[in-house]
Amino acid sequence: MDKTVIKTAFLYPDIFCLNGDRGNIIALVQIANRLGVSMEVDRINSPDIPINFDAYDIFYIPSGELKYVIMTAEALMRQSYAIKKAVEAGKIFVITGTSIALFANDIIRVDKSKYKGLDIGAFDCIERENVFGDDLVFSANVFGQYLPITGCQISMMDTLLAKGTKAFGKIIYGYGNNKGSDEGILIENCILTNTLGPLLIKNPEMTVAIIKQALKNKDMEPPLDEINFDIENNSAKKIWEFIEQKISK
Amino acid sequence: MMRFKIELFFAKVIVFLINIINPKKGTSFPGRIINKIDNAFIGKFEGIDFSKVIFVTGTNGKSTLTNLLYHILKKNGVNVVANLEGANQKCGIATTLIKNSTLNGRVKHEYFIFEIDERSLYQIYPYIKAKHIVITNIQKDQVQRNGDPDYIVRKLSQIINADMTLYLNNEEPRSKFFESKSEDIIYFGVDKNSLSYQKTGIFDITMPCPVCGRKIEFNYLNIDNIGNFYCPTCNFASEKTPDVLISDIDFEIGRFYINNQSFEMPYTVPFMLYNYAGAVAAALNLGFKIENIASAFASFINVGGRIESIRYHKKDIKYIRIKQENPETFQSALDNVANDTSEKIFVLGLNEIIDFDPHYTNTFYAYDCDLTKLVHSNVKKYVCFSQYVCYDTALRFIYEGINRDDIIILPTKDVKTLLDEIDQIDCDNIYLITWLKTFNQIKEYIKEESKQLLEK
Repeated sequence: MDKTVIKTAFLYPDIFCLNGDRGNIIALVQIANRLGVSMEVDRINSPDIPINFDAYDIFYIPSGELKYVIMTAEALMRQSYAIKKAVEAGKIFVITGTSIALFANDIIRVDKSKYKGLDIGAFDCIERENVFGDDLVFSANVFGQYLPITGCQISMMDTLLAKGTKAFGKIIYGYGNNKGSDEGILIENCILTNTLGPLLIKNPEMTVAIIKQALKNKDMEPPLDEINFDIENNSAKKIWEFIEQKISK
Repeated sequence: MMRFKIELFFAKVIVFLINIINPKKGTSFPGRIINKIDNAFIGKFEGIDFSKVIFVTGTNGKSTLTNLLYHILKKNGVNVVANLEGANQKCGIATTLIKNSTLNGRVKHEYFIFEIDERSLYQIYPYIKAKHIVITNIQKDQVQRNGDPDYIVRKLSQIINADMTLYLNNEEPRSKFFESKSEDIIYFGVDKNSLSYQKTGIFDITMPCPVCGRKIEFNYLNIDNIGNFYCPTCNFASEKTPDVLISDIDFEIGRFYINNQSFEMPYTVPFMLYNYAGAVAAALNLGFKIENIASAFASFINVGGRIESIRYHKKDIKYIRIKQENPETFQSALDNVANDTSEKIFVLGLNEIIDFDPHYTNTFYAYDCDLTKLVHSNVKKYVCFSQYVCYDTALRFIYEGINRDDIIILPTKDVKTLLDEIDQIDCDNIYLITWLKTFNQIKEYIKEESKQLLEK
């Protein structure tokens, strides 16, 4: 039987991809493959290139520096309507780290200068002078499945959600959107998380859920095969042991 | 002035005492105390000619470049002082000046070379207005403190000014970005050589252009994200002919050329070439003759060397130090392992990061590194060890396509368990990458075991 095909757009890897985030695209391809799903990845290198949103099922935007997030948002303004339409149509976007500011209303830098985001979600991003780096653990409903998510954060901005904007998860350990208990943002099928690095390798069940949702969007049956993620699970256990030790101090 | 003399006397007493009590703290502790008493202390020394002060800053290579430039000047008979022990913040500079001044606060040296932490430049420059600044490179580093590279670019931009001679890395976009800050620029670079390469894979990444934010293209790379570059969008690019260019590089015989002058290569690894180029650029501009600069290279020993070998039973363990602070040094370490294509065991001990509070389990730099060369270099077994992130480390290899059976995972920091495991593998060629602290524990264990065997 032919493998089913999901197409993923890997957006602006050279401009962003700050903290080993390319691990996420590797995870999507390899876990899809283990599920018997063929994943094709196209790199989109420049925000000046118009994207054919109908051609892709998943869009991944890695974490980047705020300076380049602002420059990219400015360049993408010409495509903001198409992006909004793709979001409303249920296309899957995964955005990690500071790059979530791309979808914001306003982006405010430390020097108080104000820039426009793409205005996809009702939230603002406000850069802080201090950097906050730590482990990050939260629970999230990933396309109908409640999962514990483990990762890291290098937080350089506070994310202020407008009333009615859904958070992606609830903090178990770490720094929330704005010191609170909310983590990230969920807009339709768009996951925006402060987690950065190889999130989809460390949390393979999340990756499986994303792939299954992409298949569902195409009216395709999700694969039933169970995958053994023992090393990933052991990794999460050990990291949780480490975090517990921190909490106990 | 009287207040300064009293402070200096007090500081010298602290230096004297700390050298008796805890010499390891002697490079920064006295300065830390005195800076708290007088924030402007480092600016009160007499006899410093700012036109002969060189600051060396940037992410990687500061210590080596400072050491090499100091060595060149020393070998040329110059009276020079430098903070060679790596204390590169304001307290380290203060301590260096305390140690090298008279009781009156006069410094009698002609030249001053200071390695400067890139975040500390703004605290030091107001008091010591160096006329020469070398910027080695600005890369991802200590993200818990620095956030992202642009954070450092902005910090440095507050200080870098037109009154400085800037020595900029012609092949590192963020270093070269500072060219708009001064008219007096000296570019240093490294020509394409036998170890230069290109990134062409679907998952390979380069970096954003610091001018326009679009993708930078590299004609070739000499080390990760450093090589001859251009931006197709805004034309920001490496100079065609940098002022100092290392060329005709022969790693086999350990030689390169600058302006037809041959240089011996003290360390035949690509990441050292930019340190050589930067040091030569500064020395030439300070008026030293190229043949005299070249003659100093032959005797240069890098005190903070990263590579060391040790025997354990029949095993030859080659240790490569990493600080786990940035992907570039990790990539260089991996490339070093991959350059040996004989059968080998690769032992990787990544750890939780404990530089600042809160400690955390960041191993994500491993995904910035390209493992292609390593996995094709005849690695028989991969050993991943550490108390908390050994499984995380193993995942990096698994997602690179390494067979699970070829990976040994040891959830421990116990060096005996590690050495026992290595001892059982039928291969004597071992490469170890981990923190210096763990390697020192390994050395200590091996020394102790040898001692006990001899006593028997």
